[in-house]
Order: sequence, then structure tokens, then C-alpha cells
Amino acid sequence: MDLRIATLAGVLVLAAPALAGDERAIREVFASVERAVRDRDKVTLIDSATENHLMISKNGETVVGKAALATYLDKMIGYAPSIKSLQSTVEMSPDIRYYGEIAVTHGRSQDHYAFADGLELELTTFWTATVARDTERWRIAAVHYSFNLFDNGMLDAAYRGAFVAATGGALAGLIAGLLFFRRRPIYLSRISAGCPNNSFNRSTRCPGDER
Amino acid sequence: MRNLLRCCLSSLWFLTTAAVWAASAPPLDPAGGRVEDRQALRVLLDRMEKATASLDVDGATALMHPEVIVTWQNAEVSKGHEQIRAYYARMLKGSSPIVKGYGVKATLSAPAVFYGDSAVAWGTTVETYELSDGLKFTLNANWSTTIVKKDGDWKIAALHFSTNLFDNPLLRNAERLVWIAGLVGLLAGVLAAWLLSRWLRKFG
Repeated sequence: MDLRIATLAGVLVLAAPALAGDERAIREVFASVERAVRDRDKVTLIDSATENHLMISKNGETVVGKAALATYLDKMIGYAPSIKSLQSTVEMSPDIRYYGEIAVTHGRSQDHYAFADGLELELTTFWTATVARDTERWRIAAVHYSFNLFDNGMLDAAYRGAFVAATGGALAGLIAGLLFFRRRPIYLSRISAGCPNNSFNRSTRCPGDER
Repeated sequence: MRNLLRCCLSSLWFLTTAAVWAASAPPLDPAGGRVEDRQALRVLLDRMEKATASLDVDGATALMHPEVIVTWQNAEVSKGHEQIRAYYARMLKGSSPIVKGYGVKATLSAPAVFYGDSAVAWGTTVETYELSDGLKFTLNANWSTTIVKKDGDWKIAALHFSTNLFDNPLLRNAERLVWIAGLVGLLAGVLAAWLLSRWLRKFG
């Protein structure tokens, strides 16, 4: 029994540095992805993915395989990109779950997007990633990005828009109303004075006008 | 004899479940290999869909690895069975639950991708929510999962739900609010102008 415990302890001691090495390697994968996103380095991003890589993006797109990933990156950060600039700070959870040749981890990132259409967005992104070890290194097999459906930068922008619309509407209504109601009594008084239809002008004198 | 009957019944249950899931999944291609594993995964995902739709938290956690990581639509992360139970309880039970009603229909988008004794699967869901504050909406969402083989059984190790940041029912509601706020503001401005002009005529 003692021998078994001793063997198990020995295996654990030997396995611990290997896990630490894996953790370091996995963290380096995400650090290189973070740098590549900042530098718009598509080669590194594609190289970090497995052949059948899955990515589900925040705009609901599902991208499967390296070729599709390259097309997606071209669209987003390529020659005529939808995203003008992206600043992202990745926070990876300390939890990495190992399951044989894969590992699962998660985290969040604080992102600032400037889109080509002028929209600027602050967003906290949440992600889960599965990394797989091939003969050379750890690569990302799947990554799923999301956001808080009930509290996010797009909703904040819409609520700010509602405030601006309400304020703008109130000002426009006030100005239009003051102009309209200031003139309305003159029309009414001239109608009641029996002016002809084409004489509703302040300079027109109608029967009943006081001189 | 009893064992034979049990075996037949379990095979029948397996095939029926696989057939039900097949209705919302791409056909199983034997050329893709690992047919048994793929069938087992489809059964697992079908049971997961049913457990989620019926809010059966024990049924759902039984299909999950003890160290599972789940990311929900509100970006909350639950790790392990206890945190998942606590999340369900907070959202759906107690004196003031956040969600009053929930329904889900899941679809598998493509055959799973295998990495040894692990697999990655993904698809879409149509989720219906009724929140306690009265808001009801239908959400077209995405899901992905990493499934691992533990002691011969496939278990969900990670599950993540999301939707489109730029096109979702809550954003559409907020965008409608912009129009409503603008219109209400305009009417309020006109009313204020009318009151002001009356006041000016009377006292000005």
C-alpha cells in the first residue's frame, strides 16, 4: 500500500512540472493572439488555430476551418476592414481544465472598437476556448465569444441615443410650438375679422382691423 | 431473458432518441468515421436539450463533467455542478426569480470535430424568454460545446451560449425606444410651447 502511495506521489511530482509547462505554453498562445489582434497579424492568428478550428464571433458568425478564418480576418481587419481599430486587453482565467490532449479555459477582454462606419464601442467580451495539443504545440481548436445580452455597449449606445432623441425632440417641439402658437392668434383674429383667404398676412388690413 | 429485454429496450430508446435529434441535425455520415461516438454525442446533446427545455437542472448536470464551465447569455460563468444549480435557482426559482418562463429548441449545425477522446460541437438555438419584469422575447442564439470521454461516457466539459451583438431583440427594443423617446420629447416640447405661449399672452 505504502509503495502504491509512494509511486502515486512520484508520478504527481513528475507530472506537476509538465502541467506547469503546458500552462505556460497555453498562456503564451493567448498572449500571442492578443498581440496579433493588436498588430493585425493574420499569419500568427491563423497559425494559432487548428485545421478544423471553430470560432463563434460576437456578431453571431460561425467560422469553421482555417480557410474560413482567413476570409473572416480579411473582412474584419484586412485591406478594407469593417473594424478600423481594435484595442483589446485579454484577462485569462487562472482555471485551465486539462482533458488528455485538450484543455478548456475561459476569460474576458476589455475591448474598444472603432468601426469603419463611425461607430465606437466599449465592450466587455467573454470567451471560452478549447486548445488542442498537436505534435508541435498547443493551438486553439474552438473559441466562442459573447457579451452580456442584458448589459452591453450597444444597449448603452441605444439608451444614450434615446436620451439625445428625447432632448432633441423636446427642443424641436418647443421651438416649433412657440413659432406656431405665436402666430396662430393672428390668423384666428383675422379669420374672425372676415379677411379674405389670401389676406392672412400681417401687413394686410382687413375690415375690422384697427389702424 | 431479462437482460436481453433490457438490451432491446435500451437499443430502442437509443435509436428513438437518435432519430429525434436527427430531425434537427445534419445526417450522420458513416464516411466521417467514429459513428458510435457521433451517435453517442447526438444522444447526449438531445438529452441536454430536453433537460434544458424542461429546466431539469439535475438532468442537465448529470450530463456534465464535474469541472464543467458554462457561459450563459448574461455572460455569467458557472463552474461545476453546484454553481450551475445556484444559477438555475437564482434565475428561475425562489420568491423573486429573474426569468419566469424559458423554452429552447436546439439544432446541431455540423458534425462534431474530434480531438482524440474529446469533441467540439456547435449549433443554434431558438430560445423564448419571459422575464419577471414582463419582457417577453425570442432569441436566435449560438451554442458551442466541448465534450470529453470520462470513464467511457461522454460528458460536457464546456458550454457557451451567445447571440448577435448587433441584431438581437433587446437591442431592437432599445432602438424602438429611441423613436418613442424622440416622439414623446417632441410632444412634450409642443405642449410646453403651448403653455408658455398662453402664459405669455396672459401675463406678457
